[in-house]
Amino acid sequence: MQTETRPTSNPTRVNWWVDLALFAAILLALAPQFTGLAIHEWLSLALAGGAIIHLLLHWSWIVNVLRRFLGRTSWSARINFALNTVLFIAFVVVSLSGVLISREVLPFFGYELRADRTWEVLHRLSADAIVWIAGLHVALHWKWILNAFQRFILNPLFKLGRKPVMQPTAPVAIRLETKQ
Amino acid sequence: MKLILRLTLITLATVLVAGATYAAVQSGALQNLLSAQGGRHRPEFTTDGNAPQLLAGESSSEFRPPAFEGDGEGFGARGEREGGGWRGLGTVVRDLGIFAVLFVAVMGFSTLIARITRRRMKSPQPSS
Repeated sequence: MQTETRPTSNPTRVNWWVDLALFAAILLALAPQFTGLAIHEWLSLALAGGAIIHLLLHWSWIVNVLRRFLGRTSWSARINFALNTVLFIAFVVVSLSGVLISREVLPFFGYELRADRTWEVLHRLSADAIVWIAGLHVALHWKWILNAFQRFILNPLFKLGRKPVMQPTAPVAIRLETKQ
Repeated sequence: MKLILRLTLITLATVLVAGATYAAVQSGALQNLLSAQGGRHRPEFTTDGNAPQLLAGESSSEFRPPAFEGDGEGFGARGEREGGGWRGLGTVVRDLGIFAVLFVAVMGFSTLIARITRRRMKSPQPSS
């Protein structure tokens, strides 16, 4: 009897692919000169949704560290939490200022705001800050990233490169038919 | 139910930060800080491809980008609106470089700390 084994969805796998997609999206959203303004704005809007999914996936960690922040927890968790809070603030500021100086998304919905130079500078400054804060956020999880990279990228690639092992097959019955 | 509660909390936190930022900008509290930083982000080229003209008596360090109006000036200048090109790709590569440097730096630092801690744990304690 053959049993079919299906890969079950595990949280680490989901986290890995969501985070990888977010990373790529952030990298592209930070370069409007490369993508053009329309892609930059729509991608950034989608990124806000991605960030909410990221927060929901790591909700239990957020609650646990928040509960123990002043009590018994490691310094690395505290630093990580503080950094994530700053990243959240920078993300909200860049999104808000981005919406307020939008030239593609808001006009698409029929809104036209008067251009304001303050929001523009704030948008650029917070975007610059996000490069460094998000970089540190990623770097602080280097162990998990290296493990996940090996598990979900390198190992499947090595498996692809290997030749499949020939399974011994049951003897095939050959029926000889004679022409009549 | 849990999901709705979590989404509500995220929304509340977002509104709180956004509201505080909006209030700070509207009250003018951020104006000085931002105008001091603004010069760093001046556009390097105008739409005709030339370097921006300085006003009489203005040094290059004092230069502020032109008013945020029109397609060819400030944020949303032609290069950004259309996208593509080597300059844009350069930004992606630069950001990727920053990420890589930070990653290697933090990895090296925490490995070093872990190694020092392990060595201290292994070293024999002086017996009394």
